[in-house]
Amino acid sequence: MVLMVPRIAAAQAAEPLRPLSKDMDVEALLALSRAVTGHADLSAEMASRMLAVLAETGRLANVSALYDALRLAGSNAQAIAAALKSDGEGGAKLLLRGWYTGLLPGPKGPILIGYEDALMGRVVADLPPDHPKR
Amino acid sequence: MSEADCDTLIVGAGLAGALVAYRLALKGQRVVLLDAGPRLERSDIIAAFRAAPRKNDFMAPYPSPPHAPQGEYVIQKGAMPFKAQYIRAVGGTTWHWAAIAWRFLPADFCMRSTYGVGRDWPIAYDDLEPYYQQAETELGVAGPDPAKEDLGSPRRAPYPMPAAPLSYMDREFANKLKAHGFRVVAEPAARNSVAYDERPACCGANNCMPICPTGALYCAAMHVAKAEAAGARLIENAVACHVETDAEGRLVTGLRYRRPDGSDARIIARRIVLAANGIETPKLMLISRSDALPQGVGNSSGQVGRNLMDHLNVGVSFLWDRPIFPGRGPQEMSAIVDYRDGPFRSSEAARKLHLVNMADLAGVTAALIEQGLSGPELERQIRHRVARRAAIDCFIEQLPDLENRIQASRTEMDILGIPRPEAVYSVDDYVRRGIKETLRSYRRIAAVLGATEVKLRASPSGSSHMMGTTIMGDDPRHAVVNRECRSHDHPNLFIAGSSVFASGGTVNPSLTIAALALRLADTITAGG
Repeated sequence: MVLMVPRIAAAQAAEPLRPLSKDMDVEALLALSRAVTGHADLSAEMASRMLAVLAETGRLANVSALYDALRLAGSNAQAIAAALKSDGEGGAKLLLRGWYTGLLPGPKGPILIGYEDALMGRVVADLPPDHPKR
Repeated sequence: MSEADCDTLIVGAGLAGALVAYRLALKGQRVVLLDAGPRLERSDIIAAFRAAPRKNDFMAPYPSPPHAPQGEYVIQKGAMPFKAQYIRAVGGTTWHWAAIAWRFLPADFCMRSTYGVGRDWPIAYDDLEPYYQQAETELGVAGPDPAKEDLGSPRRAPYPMPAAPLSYMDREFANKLKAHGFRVVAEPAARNSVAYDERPACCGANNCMPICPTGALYCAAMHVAKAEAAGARLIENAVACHVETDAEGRLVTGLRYRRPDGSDARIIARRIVLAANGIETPKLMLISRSDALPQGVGNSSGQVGRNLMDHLNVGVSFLWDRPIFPGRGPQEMSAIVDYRDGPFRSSEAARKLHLVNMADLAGVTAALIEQGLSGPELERQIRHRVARRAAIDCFIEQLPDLENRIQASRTEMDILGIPRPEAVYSVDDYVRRGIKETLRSYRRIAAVLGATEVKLRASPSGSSHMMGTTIMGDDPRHAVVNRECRSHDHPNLFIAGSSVFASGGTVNPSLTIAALALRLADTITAGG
């Protein structure tokens, strides 16, 4: 995985992941997603759908494993890099696919969790590089 | 059973059926138009598109009701699957098309006499030219100025609308390739370049397929609405299941159709126009067997269902050597036309190559994530690749072959108990030679454009252009309809649509379907 550690580390440092008292909730998923994507303004509605699909398809544990690894890494950039690089359960890729393409894998094909809010559209939007929507 | 009378019963509310219905209704005829599927609302299809996981699945937003299924409903029986993608709904498959609206070339009508292969049509290009012009006016076709760009099909008047401005990528494509001797032209399209027929100009949403969001792109549902306004009666969700004739099997007298609840109804008609496409029309004729007509309606020649043709396609995708930003404007605008005609057609299939103006954003993004990219590098690569990835596709002609055919299954029924269609299909060496030359062209074009990561898709697939299955010809022993699109067997049975084509040419069949439909309407109003 080609990691942009500084950006992720910055996000991580700005918002340390709290220990989960029970199952992952939307807030925890959003915090993890912000750390993995480097985007601060992610849609809570899309996160809610993502959480539901991850639970329905039995993949929530993959993401929880990543959450735990990044929480333990704290603000240590090398540890964050190591956690993302190992990504043994594929949690990071799942999150990236979900947030960028708006799709998560399902038993009968991809499941849509977002369209306008998918980050890939934002990446190629006809906007100046410093536009807040970028 | 219920009964109703009409002058003309039209089966199929797609492009052909809608135009015939409209023109006959304007003349005061009592017209009934049937369609197997429902009416569609554009807003519903847009909503379904937004909710669809696979945006590049052009059928995904469209309903496939149990009584009018799509897709795997066609049973494949041949060496190669026949791609049979069509929308069974009011408006037909013009709900999703790139709206490219080419005329055939004069030589397309006389392949046998010119090149010694295939068949000649019993009509010539000149017979159809006035109707091409009418079709372009009815659909609203935007095209290049004929004084500046000759598209190979003689015309007596300019297009109703000027061609839409080319995208940056299309301009770069044309400039580069023209400098290397290729002939690149702007394609005519039934998509408004300016406001026309109370519809807006294209806004460049780049979503022609699967659904134009504004109605700038022509859809036959527009002519269904015009036909209804002129007095035609539309019956939706009516699956035609038997064409009835008199006891001698000479005149068609009416038609039975089945409703979604399984009940039957009958319509009595002075004449019938079958316009249900190149699969459903021959299937209906074949299952309309009776004591008088054991081979089905209109099938004394044994040609019904045979001569199935499509346009084969192979493709290429690559990274251009500079950003060209695909996905701005309509999904298709430019074509390479060097190989549409020439003496080579005596041994090798002609073809039209066209530049695909669609950005594979989702595919590129998913591939980069799978490779392990994330963060700013992922986003940099997305921008880099999406701005450079381009694709070219093509239509390769196919000759009529008796062995390529649609037949009605004797064992497999749809949910209404009506036989499902079977496709027996393959391609021959004539097509294969055309494929080989197309791949050679792709390599040359990629080199001209400085392309890298060139990926050839050399295995051909179809284009869902179902042609030839009720073929037109003067000899009743070898053709289903005559030059008027009238059944050789039944003087009050007509066929509209690409199933009457005697050759397929190298362009999508829509404008020729429309021209033939308008000509057929004139035949009927003249006393047919």
